[in-house]
Amino acid sequence: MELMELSPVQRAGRWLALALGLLFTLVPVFWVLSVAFRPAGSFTFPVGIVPSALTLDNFSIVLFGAKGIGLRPYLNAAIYGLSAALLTAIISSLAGYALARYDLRFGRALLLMFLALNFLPAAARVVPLFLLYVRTDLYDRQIGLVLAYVAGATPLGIWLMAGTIRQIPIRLEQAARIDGAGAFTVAWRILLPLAMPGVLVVATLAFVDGWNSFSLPLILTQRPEVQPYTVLLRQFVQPSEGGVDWTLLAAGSLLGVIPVLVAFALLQSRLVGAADVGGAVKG
Amino acid sequence: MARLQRSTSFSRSDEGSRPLPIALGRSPAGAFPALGRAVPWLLLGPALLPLLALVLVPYVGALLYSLTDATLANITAPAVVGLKNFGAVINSREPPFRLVVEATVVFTLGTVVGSLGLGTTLALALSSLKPTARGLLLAIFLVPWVIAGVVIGYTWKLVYDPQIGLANAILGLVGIAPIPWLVERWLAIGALVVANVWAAYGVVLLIVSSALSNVPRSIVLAARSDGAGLGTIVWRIILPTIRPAMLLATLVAFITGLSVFDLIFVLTGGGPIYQTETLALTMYRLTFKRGDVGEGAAVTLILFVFCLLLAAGYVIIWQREAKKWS
Repeated sequence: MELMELSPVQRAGRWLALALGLLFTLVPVFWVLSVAFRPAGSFTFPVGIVPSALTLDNFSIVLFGAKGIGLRPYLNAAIYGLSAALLTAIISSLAGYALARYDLRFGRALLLMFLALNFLPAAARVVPLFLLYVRTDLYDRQIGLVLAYVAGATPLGIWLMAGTIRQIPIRLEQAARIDGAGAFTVAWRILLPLAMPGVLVVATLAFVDGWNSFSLPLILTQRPEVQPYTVLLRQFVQPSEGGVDWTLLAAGSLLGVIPVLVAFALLQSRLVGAADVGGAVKG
Repeated sequence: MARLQRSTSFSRSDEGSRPLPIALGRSPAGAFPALGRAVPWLLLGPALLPLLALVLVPYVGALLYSLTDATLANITAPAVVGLKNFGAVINSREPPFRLVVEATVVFTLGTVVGSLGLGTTLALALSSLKPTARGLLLAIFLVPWVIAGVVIGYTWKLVYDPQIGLANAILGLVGIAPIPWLVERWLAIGALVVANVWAAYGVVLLIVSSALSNVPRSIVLAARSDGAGLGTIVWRIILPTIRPAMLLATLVAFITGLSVFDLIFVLTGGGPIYQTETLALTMYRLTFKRGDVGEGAAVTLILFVFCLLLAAGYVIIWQREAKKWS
């Protein structure tokens, strides 16, 4: 339901604000599209805003061409994202359950610690992780990268899962127990289905963080075979023959955006609700 | 990180849904009598171990490294030099540390003001729409928020490029000469702020929108029937009601601004000649370009302390708010 009723002037102001917001949001996106679908070398100066010809070549060059970065960097990002999503979902659900259902002595302190850890940005973690990885032989290894993502994503995951599980009435568990169900049956048949919306949100956020990550793979890996597209796109900015390969850069960037847009489109209906995990149950 | 935190009313529900002390007692641990009180800690183990190993240990390591003269070439057996690295960072001549602090502060404040302003305005505008239109527009507004920071950097590189950039193409249409957006210090920082606001306003919008969907319509109606205008309703009723969410949004915006790396790395790399270098970029340059691991670790700790102070401040205020509510 709408929160407020507006006068006609206020209505106009609202639409103006929304229109300006849309313009600001979409114009850069439009420009990337406009460059990505242009045939290479079709830039005239001054550059035309609408492309004079359209092509899909740039995408196939990025993925399969000699000048491209290949499919591998995108697969790597997918592997990292999916592994991080799976591990984060499992770990967060277990820990979230412990914090939601047990009256732990340090339970509140732990929750607050996880809350604070949420705010530790990747940029503040890279150098310490680099030093640790160099000393422990995790440097330049895929498992090291996945572990770094998991450590980054679990604090928020735990926080969200604790909130989700708190909303599931404990009597459902107790009733199943009285009917003779074991702990694993209860977890699998009762808790998991009810907690699924929260699990999906946690997994999606972890996937997107892994898929989008740049500073961690830039610093914690070296071999192109294990690096994701975010790092390897740089190839188009500093090609050996000099200059920036704009059309390939735009096409390669777009290829990196599509999976996260799909993930969020699937999740969109739940997103605002999920951002409100804490507030859904009221007093 | 800091993508989707919204926990403002967590502790209110906290009290409401505590398990009732019936049948199986205060916790459902009955299935593993042998393990008993260890069960919750076994469940927490898989979460705590990686955090210990990959957050706590590395930071202790970085703290120790910041007291040594370690370099990339000599990481294993550095000599202890005490606080010299911190002194070297703060007294650095090229670039003067003041330059980096100035750029970081302006960039961060710009991001905070811009993304809070834009995100909150759009959230308020959306809140007066019908649900279908609201959902559709919200989805579009959230697009930048889900895009990788590095891709956002390339997106704006395409906009700002002096030759093929959209910004100059548009200026050209109205007959204005091309502008080198990323060369002069303050213009470049301003351009970076705009790009980062584009990246960051979505999370503010999401947090504020969620909070607005919980504002009881009755208090708005009551204020209106008392003759309050729109401005009064927004400033005096709605924003104070969603204060916890505003606080969270502010913190997230602060940390996004303070710690941004990918975007600046891609757009200017901190240049030209350190003109747009922020703390995160300094950390990278010292550690990996100059190979001075000790000084790089020192900058990391400075950055870490700032984030920690912000987060701690938030947790404290949040707890106080939570108490007020319950």
